Formats: sequence, C-alpha cells, structure tokens
Amino acid sequence: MPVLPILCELAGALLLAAGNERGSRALLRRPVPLAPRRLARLTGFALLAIALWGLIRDESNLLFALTTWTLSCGSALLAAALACTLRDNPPARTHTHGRTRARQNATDTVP
Amino acid sequence: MKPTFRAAMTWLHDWTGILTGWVLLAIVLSGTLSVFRPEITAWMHPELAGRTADPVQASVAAIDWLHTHAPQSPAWYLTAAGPRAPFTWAVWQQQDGQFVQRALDPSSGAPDTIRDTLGGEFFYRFHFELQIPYPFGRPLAAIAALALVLALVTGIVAHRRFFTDFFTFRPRKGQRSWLDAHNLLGVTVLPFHLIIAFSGAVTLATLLLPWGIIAAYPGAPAQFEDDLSPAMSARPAAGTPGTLAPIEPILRDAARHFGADGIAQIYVYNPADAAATIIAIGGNGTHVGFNTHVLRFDGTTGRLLADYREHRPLISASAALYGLHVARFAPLPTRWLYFICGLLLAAVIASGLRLRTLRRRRQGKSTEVVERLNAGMIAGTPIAFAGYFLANRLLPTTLPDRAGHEVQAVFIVWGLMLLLAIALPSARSWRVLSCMATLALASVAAFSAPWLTGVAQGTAAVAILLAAGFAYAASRRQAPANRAP
Amino acid sequence: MRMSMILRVAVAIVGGYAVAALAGITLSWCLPWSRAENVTAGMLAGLLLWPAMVMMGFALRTLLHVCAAITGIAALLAALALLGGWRP
Repeated sequence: MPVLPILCELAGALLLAAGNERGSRALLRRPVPLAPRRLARLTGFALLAIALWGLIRDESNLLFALTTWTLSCGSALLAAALACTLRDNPPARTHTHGRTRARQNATDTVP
Repeated sequence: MKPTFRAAMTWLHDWTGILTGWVLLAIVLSGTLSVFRPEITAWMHPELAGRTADPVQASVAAIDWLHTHAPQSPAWYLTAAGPRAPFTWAVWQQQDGQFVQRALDPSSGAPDTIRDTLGGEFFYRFHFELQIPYPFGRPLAAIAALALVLALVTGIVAHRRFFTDFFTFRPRKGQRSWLDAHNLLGVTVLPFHLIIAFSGAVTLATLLLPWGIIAAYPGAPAQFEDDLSPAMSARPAAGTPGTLAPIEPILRDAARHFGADGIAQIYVYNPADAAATIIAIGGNGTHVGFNTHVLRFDGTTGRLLADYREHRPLISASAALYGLHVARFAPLPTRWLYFICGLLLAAVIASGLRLRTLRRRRQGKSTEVVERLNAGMIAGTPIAFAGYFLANRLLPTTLPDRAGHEVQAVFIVWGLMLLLAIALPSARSWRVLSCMATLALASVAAFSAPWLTGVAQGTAAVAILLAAGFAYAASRRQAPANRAP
Repeated sequence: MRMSMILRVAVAIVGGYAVAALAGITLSWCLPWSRAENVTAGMLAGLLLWPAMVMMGFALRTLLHVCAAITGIAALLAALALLGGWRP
C-alpha cells in the first residue's frame, strides 16, 4: 500500500483547496488574500508531483504509476472538497439552510 | 467562444444524458463490479473459502478433468487460478453444442463439489452484452460508450465554470446542490471518466467500425485477427484423432516464458485431434497492455510453435488502452481506486438524471413519470444486483440450472422494482426503494459471514457503506424542492 | 424548428458515422505501416471522429453548413482513399 504518496496527495489536494478562493474561505472561514493563496496552490501542485515521483519509485513502472496517480489524485481532490464542505457547513447548523451566507450564486449559471 | 456554441453543447449534453443515462447507469454499475470479477466469483463459491491454488497445478487438474469429461468439445477455454482466484474458470461445449462455464476445483479439477454459479462473470458479460440476444448487445454497449465520451466532452463545455467552483459543494440547496455534486464528482475524476469511456469503445471497435478491416482485407476479414495477434490463432483440425501431450511441462515452460507476468489464460483447441493447439496468454504483472504476450504450442508434441510479444507502437498503444479498461494489471490499491471511480461515474450519471427532472419541474413541466422511472433505475439497479448476491446464497445448491436461475433472479427483482417505482408516487417510491436497497445490501453484508477472508470482508464493507448511503437517502426530509433519492 | 432539429440530429449521427467509417478506410489504405497497424489506427481515429463530428453538427450555425462540412470532409477522405488505391 503506497501510504506516503497517498498522504502526500491528500495534503496537496488540501493545499490546492486553500489556494482556491472559495475553498480557502471555507477552510479558514475568512477571505484570504491572493499571494498566500498562490503560494498554497503552488505547494499543492508540488506535493502532487512529489506523490507521482513516489509512486513511480514504488511501482517501478511508469504507466502503472500514472494510472494510480490519476485515480488517487481525483479521490484526494474529492476528499478535499468534502473537507471544505464540512468546514463551510457545520452539521450543527442544519436548520439555517446555509441562508446566512448568501453568496454570489448568480455567477454560476445553471445550464 | 460564441455563446451559442455553449448552448448547443448544453443541449447535446442534456439529450445524450437523457437518452443513454439509464443504459449507461446499468453498464457503469456492472462494469464497476467487474473490477472485482474473480473476487465476486470467489464470494459466490463459499465452498472454496480459504483455499489457495497454484496456476499451473490447478490448470493441469482442470485439463485432466476436461480430458475425460469433455473430449469432444472443439475448444477448452481456461482462465488460470491465481492469488485472486482459488479456482480455474473454464468454458467448454457440451455434446449438444451448448456452452458451459464453471469454476473448477483447484486440486481435483472437477466442478462437482462446487455450486453452479456464474459469479462475477455475470456482471462482466452484462457490462458489454446487456443480456440482449447475440449480435445486438455489444454494438449497443459500444454506442453507449461513445455517447458517454460525447456527454463528457460536451459536459466540460456546458458546465465550464466547474474549475472555479471546484472546492465548493453547497448542500441542502436543492437544484444548486445537485449541480454542485454533478460537477464535483464529474470533474475530480474526469481523466478516469474520459479514459474509461473511450477505452470502452476501443474494446468493441472492430464491431462498431469494421470498415477499415473490410477495405484492407477484402474477402478475408479474419486475417486481420491473425495479423493483430499472430500467435493467438489455432491450426485447423487435422481430422485424425490424436492424444494431448503431457500438459504440465508445457505449462511450466509457458510460466517460465511469462515470468513475473504469470499465466492468465490457456486455450486448448481441438483437444482430441492430431493437430491440437495449446495457446497460453501472459498476464499483466509488469505491463498494462492486454494480451500482448502469447505462446502457441503443438498440443500433441508439446513443442513451442510461436512466441509472440507485441512491439508495434500503434497496436501496443491500442492494447494499452484495452488494458487500462479491463484493469487486469491493477494491483489491489489501484483496483480499489478503479472501483471507487466507477461508483463516482455512476453517481455523476444519477445526479445528472436527477438534475434534469429538477430543472423541468422548476420550469413548471410534469416530471412525475420520469421521476418514477429514475427511482426504479437509480435505486432499482443496485437492488437487482444485490439480489444476485442473495440468490447465490438462498437458492438450493442442488437446483438444476442453478446459474441460470440466479441470473433470472436479477431480472425478476429489477422488473419488480421498476413496477413498484411506477406504481407509487415518486416521492414515496424514492423512499421505499431506498429502504429496500438498504435492506438488500445489509443482507449481502450479513451473508458474507463469517467474514474471515479478505473477499468476504471487502464485500461486507462495500455493502454496508452503500446500505448506509441508501439509509441516509431514505431518512432525508422530502421537501418538494429539496429531495434526495 | 422541431423538424430542423430532427434533421440535424440525423445528419450529425449518420454523417458523423460515415466520416468515421471513411476515415477508417482511408487510413487503412494510406498509412505507411503494416496493414494491421493501419487498420487499428483507422479504427481509433474513427472512434475519435464520430463524437467530434456529432459535436460539429450541433456547433455550426445552420443545417446547410453542417451538411456542407460533413460532405466536404467525407469527400476529402474518399478522394484520399481512392488516391491510396482503395476501390469500393
């Protein structure tokens, strides 16, 4: 079980979330300026790259490693998004329906 | 980018999804289960729990048994036992021409002590044949695969904002939440979705687009298969009886050639003929490409006739795409990732179907019929597949044509669930079917007792997680604009 | 409006398939590698082209444009195949 690369990916995905405007506001519960977000994003990408390197070393087969990396990165990003959601909407506040944080929903059109 | 382009792609995305969504859901779910094909077959043979098998010894036992019990069959097709499968999977023809597929005992080679079930083969076959009579199922599955490619590419255009909204999922907001879920699940695993859809079409490409073969091989399209995999074809039968050479040295020789890749399959053609041929196909221990190393032996002398290893770049690439789809190479962690991503793809499709009805309802159109059918398919398919697992434990082991009855059980359950969903108002049918799915999946976990093997534990864990998901869905408050299936 | 949409769907799907099939034939005759490789390349290209053609069938502004584009591509592929030595 390639534990280290997976942990690396999870950390990378969380940093990518912190590098995203909405993601950072959810994780830290306050707006974050652009510069630290950019740093977080770059570190996140670097960690994902390190995870790929680790997987290639573990599997000693490029295509095996690439497949595993692609699939696990997706799952790690999903986990990061769920973490953002949990931070953003604590389960205790089920009755407010999130109405307190009226956000710029209009920017995302429903296709 | 013109605004009309996005509108056109959105229209295409919607209609592709609506027309193929239900079929794709069934294909994706059965394909996801096929990732664990030998494991499911092992679960369905509790008699074999705890057994281990050596691929060569088990194959020798199987061939010895077939030698006495099915010498007349034109061919024996064996999938070798291994660490994932404590049995040999064999397909052969009876005297009346009927194909038989059975798991064979790794030490005696006989099927008699093992219950008659298709196991994971059912999901594998259903995944690309849809249980539709012979020539129609596969092209339909191939078209569905391309429709999925189309839906994914147009979906990228239609939901183009998802890269900025990546990390925000806004729950409890009705349509908005469904859109978020659809985007989030779609985009995080997008490379998997694209590759699995396109490579799925690649596995059936010769059926879908045979025109290049017909044009380049006028009058002899079978020649293409020979060119594609030169060692894979058998010699024509001589017409005179012959005896098979001792099989063990041949298989040891094959295992030596394959090394860390291992033996995946053994085909014996014309076993009782003087021109018997044995073909051994290498596994995927060290490479992704599917069936890229093949050996052909003379069945009567045991001499190696051909040792073919694929090196042509284009065909290797095509074989690699095939291999990525069937994932025979995947070590256990990767295999679980395939399984998870497959479930996510099913969730993308289900949420897309859900989104469509929510939007129509917001426009003031009636969605009741579609809503009911959605409940029947989205919740009914997992119930029917769980029903297969339950039928495996509930049907008496001595029942004639037991494997056939297990498969029938799937379609009976499926039909009943669809009828139930159509009969009930949609708000009720979501809840009723979710409750039934919870029950069915919890029973699968219970029937995995005594949870001693990895297979039983894995099955029980997946069943319990899915049951919990359906239980959560059933417990959700059913507000008109905010409803979870 | 309805009729033109149905026509568009038909042209995109059937025309797209024809282009994919012709691409398979053309590549199997015109590529420089072995027969099996050319045919495989043609099939892979066809699988990519069919969805692409369907998308194009909906992206262009009028039905006439779509018909013209698909006929043009098909004619080009057929001409290349004929030049490569293919006889239907």
